[in-house]
Amino acid sequence: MEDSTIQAVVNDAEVASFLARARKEAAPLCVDLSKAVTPREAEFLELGAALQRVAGTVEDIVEQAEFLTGLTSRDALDSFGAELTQELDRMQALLLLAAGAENESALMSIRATLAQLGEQLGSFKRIVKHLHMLGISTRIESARLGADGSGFGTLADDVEKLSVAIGRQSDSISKQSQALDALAATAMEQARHMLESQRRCTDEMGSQVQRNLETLLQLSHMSQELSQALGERIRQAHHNIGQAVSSLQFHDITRQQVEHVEQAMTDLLEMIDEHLAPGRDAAETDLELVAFMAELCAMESRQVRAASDRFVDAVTSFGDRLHGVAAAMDGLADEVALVRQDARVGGGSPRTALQGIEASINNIMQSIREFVAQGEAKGEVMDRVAGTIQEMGAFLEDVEEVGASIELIALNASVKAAHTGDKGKAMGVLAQSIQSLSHAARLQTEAIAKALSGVAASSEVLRTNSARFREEVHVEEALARLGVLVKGLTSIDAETTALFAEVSAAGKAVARDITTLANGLTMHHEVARQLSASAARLDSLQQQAAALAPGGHAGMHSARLESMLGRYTMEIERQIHLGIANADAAAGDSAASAGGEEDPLDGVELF
Amino acid sequence: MGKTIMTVDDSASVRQMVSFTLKNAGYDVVEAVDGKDGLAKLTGSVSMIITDLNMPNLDGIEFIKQVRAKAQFKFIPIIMLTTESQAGKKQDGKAAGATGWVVKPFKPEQLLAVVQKLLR
Repeated sequence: MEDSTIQAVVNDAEVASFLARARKEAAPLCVDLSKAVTPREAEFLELGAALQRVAGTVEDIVEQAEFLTGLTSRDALDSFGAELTQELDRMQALLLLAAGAENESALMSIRATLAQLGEQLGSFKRIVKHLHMLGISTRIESARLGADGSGFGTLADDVEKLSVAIGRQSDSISKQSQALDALAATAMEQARHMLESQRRCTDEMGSQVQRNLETLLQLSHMSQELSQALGERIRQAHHNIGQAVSSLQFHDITRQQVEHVEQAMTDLLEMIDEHLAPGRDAAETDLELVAFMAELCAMESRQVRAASDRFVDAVTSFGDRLHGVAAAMDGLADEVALVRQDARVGGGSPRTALQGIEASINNIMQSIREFVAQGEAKGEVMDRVAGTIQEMGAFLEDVEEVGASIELIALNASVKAAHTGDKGKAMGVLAQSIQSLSHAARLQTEAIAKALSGVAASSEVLRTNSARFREEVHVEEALARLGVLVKGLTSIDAETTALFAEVSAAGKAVARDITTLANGLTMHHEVARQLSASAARLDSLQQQAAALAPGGHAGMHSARLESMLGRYTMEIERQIHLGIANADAAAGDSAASAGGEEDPLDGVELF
Repeated sequence: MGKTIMTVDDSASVRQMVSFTLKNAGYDVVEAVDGKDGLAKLTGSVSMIITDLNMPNLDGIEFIKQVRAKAQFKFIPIIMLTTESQAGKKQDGKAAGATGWVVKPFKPEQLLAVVQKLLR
């Protein structure tokens, strides 16, 4: 429509000029409004894609963090602690068995018996001396008797031989006895040493196990605290991601609001054209139309400003939510790094608590190995003791044989003395002495035999213990089980150390990326500038119209404006229209409102 | 495999957020740009529909009517996700066969609560 046509139709030149100007401004205003929000959808989609990537990364980190806390959870560590305690209890029982406290009393008994044996051997030596003297006397008496004593030369030889044999036996037994005593003394020393080692080992095990269990408990507490702290960070991240999802829907919401303004202005243009059309209905005066234009422009300006505020608020809120996710992930990384630091022995130690436990178990295992080596060495000595005692058992027969030989010689001497008659009376005295000696020898051999039997009996205890040690003390199996535990611990330690580092680094990295993304959000400033410019043009039109029709509708909405209420789709538009909401209130309705603990079905109506 | 949910909305950014929310919760999602596109993509695997109200070509109300006309989809849950909150419109939606009404912007936990309740 040409300006001249408008001038021809409208009587008032000023009104005609305004309507012509309004027509010219309304169309580009609609174009500018449509350019402000709608084309931004691609940027919103990019932000949506970025949010999905962020959420994906956050979920990966959350999964790793949950796995990490699971590795050091109370259940896992309790189970490890129980297994460790059980293995070390078994080990202590084995050590007690290996130490063999009863060996000491057996060895003491052997040594006491050997001391008695020594005394008895001393008596035996006296018998040998008497025998030797009797042999010499027999030889002298045989020489004195001349031809009558020729048979006594053989007797003297027998007595001499017997004294030498007994002396040799006695020396052998004495030497064996001394060797045995020395061995028994060594074994006793070893047994005492082993008992001490066992006590030390047991004490060390007890205190180390206690320390390890305390460390495990600390780790478990740390893990529990970490789990809670991470849970809170994860909730923060999820909450912020959820709010960001809400914010990103505001492109659609503000687009609709702006489109409704566009529609209202397009309708106004048609209305003006209809009003100015030739043969128009004169039901509405020019000033009534201008008055409606004033109130419509004022209304649409408020709608545009509210839409602008909601858009800005949504993007700002999205940025804030991203910063919230970044803060949550940064905090999560810090929590993990802190626990990683705390999990080190004594704070600044380069060793982790689990490595400390590993080292402690390895120490225990080393002590056990050394202890078992001592046990084996002691077992060998015990075997030698038992072997020596067995060898000494062979002397029993020899000693008994000596007793029988003396008796035989005594009998032989008596018989020969009787054959010699009166000349052999002196020989009879010698025979009598040999007989007495035979009796004494008999008593000594019995005592020595008894002592040797006692030693042999004690050796059985040693032999049984030695065999039992070999059969029952399967330390290698127990050590292997401990080795498996240590291996498990090493694996957990390596995994947790790597995960601590990974989660911490990943948390920091994603926090940095999210912050960069959030700091790069600027589109809302341009949209706000464009919408603000459009609102200003609406304000200008409103002011021009209001100046031409100053009375307007006496502060009331015209019926036409009232009828527009039914065209809105959003409650906020209706509130603005009714004047019960302003731009600030509208902004408050946006996604920025972070809900606390709400019923998720709030705002949902199920039919 | 998760159940399949169709999201019908002329706004790509809303479809993106609905899809993101549902997929994260383990659902499969089919996207349609309006009612007409929704009808074309409707297959037997769809267990639930979340649709906008104001859309070009075929709006939400008419779309629901046509979906309900198909015997196979007579009873599947259909949720309207829209900026509209007027009681009259909700009544129209209910009359057309909608199961429920959620006003935009939705919160993920809110949408999932509805979906989980209706797909139980």
